[in-house]
Amino acid sequence: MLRIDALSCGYGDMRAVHDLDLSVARGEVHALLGANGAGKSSTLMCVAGHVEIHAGGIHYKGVDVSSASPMARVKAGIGLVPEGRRLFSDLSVKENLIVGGYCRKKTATAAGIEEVVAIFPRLGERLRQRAGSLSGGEQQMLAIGRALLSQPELLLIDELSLGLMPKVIDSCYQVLSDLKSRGMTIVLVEQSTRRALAIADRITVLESGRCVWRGTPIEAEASQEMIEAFLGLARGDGQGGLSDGDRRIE
Amino acid sequence: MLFLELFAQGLIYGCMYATIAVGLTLVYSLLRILHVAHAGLFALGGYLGLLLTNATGSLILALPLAAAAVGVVGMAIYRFCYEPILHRPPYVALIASIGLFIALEEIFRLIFGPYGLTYAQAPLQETFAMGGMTIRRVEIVIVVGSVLILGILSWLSRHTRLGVAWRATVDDPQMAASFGISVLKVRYLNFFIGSALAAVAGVFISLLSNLVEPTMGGVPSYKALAIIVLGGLGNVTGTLCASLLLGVTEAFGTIYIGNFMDRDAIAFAFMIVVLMVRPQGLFGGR
Repeated sequence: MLRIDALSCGYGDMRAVHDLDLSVARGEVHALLGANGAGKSSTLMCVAGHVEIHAGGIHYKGVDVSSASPMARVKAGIGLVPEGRRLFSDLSVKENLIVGGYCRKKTATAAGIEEVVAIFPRLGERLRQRAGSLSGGEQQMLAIGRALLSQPELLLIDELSLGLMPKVIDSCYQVLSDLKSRGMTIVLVEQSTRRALAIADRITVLESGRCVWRGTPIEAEASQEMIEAFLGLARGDGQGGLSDGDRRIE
Repeated sequence: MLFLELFAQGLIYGCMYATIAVGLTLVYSLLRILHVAHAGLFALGGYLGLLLTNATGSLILALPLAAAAVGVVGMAIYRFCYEPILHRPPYVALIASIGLFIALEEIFRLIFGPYGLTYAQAPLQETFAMGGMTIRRVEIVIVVGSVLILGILSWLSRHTRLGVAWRATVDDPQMAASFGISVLKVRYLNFFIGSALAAVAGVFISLLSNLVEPTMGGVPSYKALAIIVLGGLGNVTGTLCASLLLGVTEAFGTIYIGNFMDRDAIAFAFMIVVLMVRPQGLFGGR
């Protein structure tokens, strides 16, 4: 579904990602993990077309999209839930969803809004409310809903749990599980390692813009070196499982 | 009675200011450019409206034609003047805009001469009594026309996909583009509508004073800038309210403090006082 070959990207002269190879199969949930500044978000934004490519390429469904505009990528089926949500705060919930489906037909947008409301009933109660006045959790729901309106086959999600209450995070991850079970391909950038490992099929760990480890969550759990060096986790319960302590990579 | 007359006068000027200032604030909210040349388009609208009315004898035909033509000129200004320098600091566009405004004034002077033009037979000048006041038809047309045009625009911006796309682009152009909205098309549309509004305002003022002249954009350009600052830069609702407030303040000011200040000085004194109390403008956020 998605293949990244020797990708280097960044902002102007500054390189955020170096020589990264990554492949994501159809229906897979792939988590990008790493500390702040590791290049996770830059990779995601580069796939979405918002960060300049310095070298390498991005192939989506076998087509080179390296030079495609963000708009073309959305039309091709790449949806984005950006870090910090970046909702159109002066627009209503419904208008945000309309923008999400802007590249689709009007009838498809209307049907899509109904689907999103079925997934997030709370948004249905607030369709006329300004997006900027929603709670953090509702904003995250709207950001996911808006991305779904573009009918993506590949969903890029950046920092889903950032700044949200645990209960809200649970419901957002429940939605991701549902999307996964419906066959959606997802690339997830997440600092909450425990949650990412719980949902991901494969993970890639980045450090200073380079890939330093990749494998499955089971392999990650089995690799003491990887856990201590990159995930900051300890086998606290003595049973080989991950502890419930601070799972964040800082 | 005097109060009512002054209020009506303020409303008429306020509506006219709103028509020109909303165009200016549309450009500012999207591109963060203080589009001073907007006043040149206002004057161009006045000239075209007058010439077309004189040629066809129909204001109903002349007004939309002038608005459409000036809208296209506005799009050309964006394409050839602003787009190449968008990546430069904002003051570069401001300097270009001032230069363009001066150039437009000189072009009007060269083509139409330094003196004003008047309507062969000025339309809508009939007067009638209303609530004890004497009102000209043109004054009614200005108020009703401004409210209709701005009301329709407001409705379109909220109830059409294109309007929603425009507002999304103003909010976050990068994200709007990522959802398939053509930011370039929105910018062209923005310049077309803003410039057409300036043209309508130009035609209105030419009807009110039965005069168009090369420098007619001068004072409105400063006032429109004052209004968008008063309204809170980029705030359309604030711009509308500030326009009406300024119109009414001027009308009352000319009677009560007219011995000390002329109409235009009152407008700027009002702006200075407001900005001393609320530097972010009446409706702007801190």
